[in-house]
Amino acid sequence: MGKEMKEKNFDLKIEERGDVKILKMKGYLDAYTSLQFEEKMKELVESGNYKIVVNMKNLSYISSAGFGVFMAFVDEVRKNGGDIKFCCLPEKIDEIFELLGFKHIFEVLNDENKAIESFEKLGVKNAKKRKK
Amino acid sequence: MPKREKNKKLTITSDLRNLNLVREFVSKEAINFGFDEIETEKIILAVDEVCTNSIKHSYKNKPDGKITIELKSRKDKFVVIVSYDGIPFDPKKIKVESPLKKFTRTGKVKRGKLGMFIIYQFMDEVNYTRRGNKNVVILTKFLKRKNESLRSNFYA
Repeated sequence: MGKEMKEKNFDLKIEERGDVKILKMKGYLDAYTSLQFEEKMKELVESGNYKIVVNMKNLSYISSAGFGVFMAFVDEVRKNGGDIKFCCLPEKIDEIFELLGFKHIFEVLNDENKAIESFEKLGVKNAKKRKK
Repeated sequence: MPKREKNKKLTITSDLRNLNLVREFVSKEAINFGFDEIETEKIILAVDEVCTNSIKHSYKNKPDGKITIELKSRKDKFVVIVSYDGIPFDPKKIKVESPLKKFTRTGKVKRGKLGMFIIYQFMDEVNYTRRGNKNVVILTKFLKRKNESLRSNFYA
């Protein structure tokens, strides 16, 4: 079972597959709900989780404060061989990502499995590099 | 308690937990006015960001301040007027840059001022003024004809 964070208007469920953490979001990620979410992200990254997939399938809304949480941690996870990737964006949120240019900063995929697998491929590549 | 008046006015206290009330209020009126889902989302985001900034920066997160959101519409013009007390705010002092431009320029992803970028990017007109002791932000969005492109070039 994954860990859960529940708050009025926003739910977060964290699952894992291998060393990839999958953040399943539901509801509204705004300046209020992002306060607790940021704590959760901090906890994850500080404990060495650098491969993160954010599944936004059930997310209804995201404001600058929500985006800000990902922006605050993405350089650090990338520096450590990981990334924050997004999947399953609802149409409205997909459009906002596009309009704000986030699709050129973050990797956005249509499918959760593909997002997880892209990390697995990255892991194989890194292992090969290390052997060399 | 938030107060909703007949003339499309909503007053909330400066508490981030009230942002959902603002979104609900603006969303309903924008849809009624004729905006599609994406354009409505842009207006909601811009108003949310103005209210968030006022709570965080003008009221310094003190929940006893008041924010009034007033909606006015005429012909194809939809206007949102957000007024609040607290510390005066001069938007000219803030350098607004697209997150992509910042990323391309520095190679780093940095948060900050994204809210301001959203406000200016998603509304057609933005006007910050001071009336007496109040900060007044006037956000305007025009209904566009169906064949008109809704997307402007943000990366230029």
